[in-house]
Amino acid sequence: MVYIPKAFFKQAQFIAAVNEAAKALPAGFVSITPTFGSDWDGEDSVFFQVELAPGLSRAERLALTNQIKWHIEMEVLPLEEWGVLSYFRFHTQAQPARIEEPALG
Amino acid sequence: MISYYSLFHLLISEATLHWNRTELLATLGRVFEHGQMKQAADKKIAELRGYFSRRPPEGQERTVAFHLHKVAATCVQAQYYRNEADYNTASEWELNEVLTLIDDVGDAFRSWNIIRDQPVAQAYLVSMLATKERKQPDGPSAGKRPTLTDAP
Repeated sequence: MVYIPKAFFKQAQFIAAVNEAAKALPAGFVSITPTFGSDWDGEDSVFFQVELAPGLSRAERLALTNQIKWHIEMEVLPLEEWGVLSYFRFHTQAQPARIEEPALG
Repeated sequence: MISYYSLFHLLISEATLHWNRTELLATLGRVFEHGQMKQAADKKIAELRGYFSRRPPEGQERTVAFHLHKVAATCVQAQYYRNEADYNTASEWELNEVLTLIDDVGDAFRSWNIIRDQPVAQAYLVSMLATKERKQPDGPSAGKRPTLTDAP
């Protein structure tokens, strides 16, 4: 029998659940984008690409990433409700390049 | 990659700590394998999420469960990214991403040090050994996942 996890055939609902949970995340969190696939053991998985605000210290990043993982996993319940393992990857939002003005005079 | 192996070997060394034939420790340590350790971690994570979903009161039991969840979850994440680093050469990494993974493993070490003498932590170590489970009586299974046939 072919096993298809609920997250795969109800992707829109899964993404909506993630977006709903993400509303409660604190400052420093920018966005979360799930994609679906298999992990290295062939297990059905969701890969969360999380974008963080620039300028966070290492300690702040660690605290924030812990908080994001915990909150999303406990609110969305990817495995229990949707049948997928979850993996998180945290990027920092690129800072806009500054245009250095030439010194005048 | 190094951060994953540091956690992998921490758990193995803790699991074999009470074996008093030191000349056999390295051999015993090789009994542990990555796949089985991931399965044990996945199972523990599911079990602990079930526990937290019941909104347990504050106290030592919840604190221990929180730290054990941290260790198991970090083990799974770090193992995945160890494979990514090893086999997915198309993947590019930011410095901050790598530092976060390293810090996360450091955090898991701190969690382990808090709970290492707790019976549930010791039981978790034993669960990492490859074993065949006894058939359980019918009942809700932590490993059962929702499937197409469960959809309303």
